[in-house]
Amino acid sequence: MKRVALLLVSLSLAACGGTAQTRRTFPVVVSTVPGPLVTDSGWAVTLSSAQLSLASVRFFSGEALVRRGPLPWRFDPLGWLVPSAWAHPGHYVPGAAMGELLQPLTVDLLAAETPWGTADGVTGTYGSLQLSLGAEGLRLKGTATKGADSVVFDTGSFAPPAAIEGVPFSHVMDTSAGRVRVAVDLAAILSRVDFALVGSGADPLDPASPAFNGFARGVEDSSVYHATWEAAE
Amino acid sequence: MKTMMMGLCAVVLASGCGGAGSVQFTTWGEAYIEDKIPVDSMETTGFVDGWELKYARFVVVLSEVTLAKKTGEAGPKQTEAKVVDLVKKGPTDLLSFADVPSGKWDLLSYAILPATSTAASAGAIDAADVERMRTGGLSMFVEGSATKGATTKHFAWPLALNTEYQECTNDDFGEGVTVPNGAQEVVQLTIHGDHFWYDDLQSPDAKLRFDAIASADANGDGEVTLDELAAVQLTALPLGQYGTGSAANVKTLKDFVFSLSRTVGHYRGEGHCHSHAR
Repeated sequence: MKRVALLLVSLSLAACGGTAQTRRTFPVVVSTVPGPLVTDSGWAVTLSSAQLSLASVRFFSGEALVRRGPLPWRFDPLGWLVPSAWAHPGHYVPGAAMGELLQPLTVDLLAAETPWGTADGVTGTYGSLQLSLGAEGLRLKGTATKGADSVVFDTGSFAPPAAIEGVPFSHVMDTSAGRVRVAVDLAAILSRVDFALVGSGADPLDPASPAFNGFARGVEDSSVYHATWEAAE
Repeated sequence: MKTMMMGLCAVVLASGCGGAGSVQFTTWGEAYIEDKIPVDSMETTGFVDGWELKYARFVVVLSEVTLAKKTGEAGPKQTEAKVVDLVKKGPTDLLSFADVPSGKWDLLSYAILPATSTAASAGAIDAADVERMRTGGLSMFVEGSATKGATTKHFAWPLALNTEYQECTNDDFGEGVTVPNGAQEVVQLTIHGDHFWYDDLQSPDAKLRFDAIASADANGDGEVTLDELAAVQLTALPLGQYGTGSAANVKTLKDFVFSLSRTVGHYRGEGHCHSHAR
């Protein structure tokens, strides 16, 4: 069905006399955002395991709630061809479907980089993506230290009940070679976690605890997923 | 020759390139601000958790109403900020642009920004409220009470945020405004007072809630302050509520309410603008 939608987008835009969109493919890789893992409450975290279960990624023309790039009309004279999204609670509008990768994958986030697969898409202005995690979601294991305190933890698996929408991805896709990198910011995911508030325990982490709540909110936060286009050298 | 001139006139008129018109801007807070936000057990128009809320003041500083074109042509721009209390019955006249070249101005923006000493009042507003905005450098001042059963919580929040609402559009009118030739177009900058109470910054399933705000009243004096909101981490609230979407660094209820406050600006009713923090 999605493939039909993509074709319809391509055909309808071409029929309007605008820039004819071209079907293309591009690879997607998954990695992490490098940097120290320190929570807002001052816990330094060392991970021994970081498993992320991915189900699919879908690309859309609509801009994310918070834009990282310039306004479309300022850099793209044909930007009016695609619908836009508006900053409004409850009103994130994905817009037109531009591409998709529907290949489930479990990623070891402690590895440098993992190829996910090849996405099918069309050329045009991309504004955001939607990330669906697999049933196992994200599970982190490790040790958190703060002064003389040390906490061994296992978050257990957490998958958001709905797809993570509105991940910023501003890119004018043409037919040139390149790939999409989805980098997971583990520091941002862990930033809300206070390992002093683990409820009945940290290994496994009490799902009713504020610490787990912070972990889950981190996984659901679409700003922790950084999507960028990397042109081929 | 006569036929050629008539044809030329028709082309000019059709293109909207000739003559000039005026644009009158008004603002309105709709029934949610003028009257109340009701309880709504059906989860469509009011609070889903049993609260009813009535604003006593909803003062905003509106400025920098600007017309432009994507082609780069600059149009008129508001220079004097206007202070409006949207609880007073509206719509309220804000300003007028005269002698604007007729035709489509597809980029319309405005700002809600901190007042300076030169900010002027618009409509019926108490002089003390205008002075509070000027001396405090405030962009918004919202005061009201929420009631659920026998419990009432009061709030009075001064905000000094600077938000520009860009690229305003409306499904019925399109992008920006079309200025008629020799006539006036009335444009409403609509303010949505219910947005302060959404429980998600992005989800299409966002609901209006007040339980968490009420519970932030740590000293139990019936007054919910911004400091009390800042003391509530979102991690203390149930999962599934107060999601932050792609808005990074929203960690407390105060952060959350401040983010929502940047979304109240709308365009001609339900029309939208891009919200840009400055």
